[in-house]
Amino acid sequence: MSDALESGAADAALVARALAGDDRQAFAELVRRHQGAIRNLLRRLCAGDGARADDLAQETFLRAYRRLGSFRGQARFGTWLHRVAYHAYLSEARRRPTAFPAPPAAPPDPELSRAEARHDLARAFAFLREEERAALALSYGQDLTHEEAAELLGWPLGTLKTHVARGKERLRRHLFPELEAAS
Amino acid sequence: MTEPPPLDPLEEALAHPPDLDDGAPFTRKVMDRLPPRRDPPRALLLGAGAALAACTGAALLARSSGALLAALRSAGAGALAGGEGLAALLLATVLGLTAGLVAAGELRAAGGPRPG
Repeated sequence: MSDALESGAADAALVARALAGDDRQAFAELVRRHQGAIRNLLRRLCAGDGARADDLAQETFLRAYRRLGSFRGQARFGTWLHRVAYHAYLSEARRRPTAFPAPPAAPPDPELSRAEARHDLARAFAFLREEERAALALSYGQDLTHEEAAELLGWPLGTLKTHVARGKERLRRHLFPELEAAS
Repeated sequence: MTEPPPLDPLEEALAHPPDLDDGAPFTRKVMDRLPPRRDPPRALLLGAGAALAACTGAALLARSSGALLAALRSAGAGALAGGEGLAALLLATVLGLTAGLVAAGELRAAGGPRPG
């Protein structure tokens, strides 16, 4: 059995235990297994704002706990959780006075800023448009296929791929201008 | 021997987000914020109470409906106005509604993950 299948089966068993007897240990295990992916996803969506991302990640797991009964097992638990996280992010972003700030202007020290952004790529997501940010955050480093990411965002696959390509181009221009110049 | 193509640093960085802490403090915070644990005995008591209230209401309703019909048949509308049939019917309706509302409110407040 592949790792993904084993992991999915383990998740399903934990969900069943959490639902059957309000088993908190089982739910805590689900949190432990998925917190890294969800926090990283939200860090990228929040352009490196770790505190905001962790608040949203907590909100994600609280929502997941309340809605655990609606998880039918058609998708993997991880995919379902990513959907909950993305919707938690959207709800919070709509409430924020400056929900989608414009990408920052040229930083005062471009070299230093570029080095920092290379080190922590999530912060460089501030350079992206909202759609590009969502497309890249869900399509990379999250164990989701492009099809799953497109379905989660409610976009056709081609639209997702377009935003991924544009986002990468924009990041490359900001972070690796030497590569851009060479190509 | 051909060299493997150089890795794209952007692709590398995108595919490998940084490792966060082990998640123990985060998990603890989430668990601390969960709603109070469901209390199975309390939920069972509430369920049994609601069922009992429903049965009682149904019995009262059936009895008072019988009385109402009997009153209508034997004495006509005049007997209905001051008769025990109408009073019993009203009482049963009020009791049934109250019991239902209280039980629904209590069950909703019991919390916990809700099966879909």
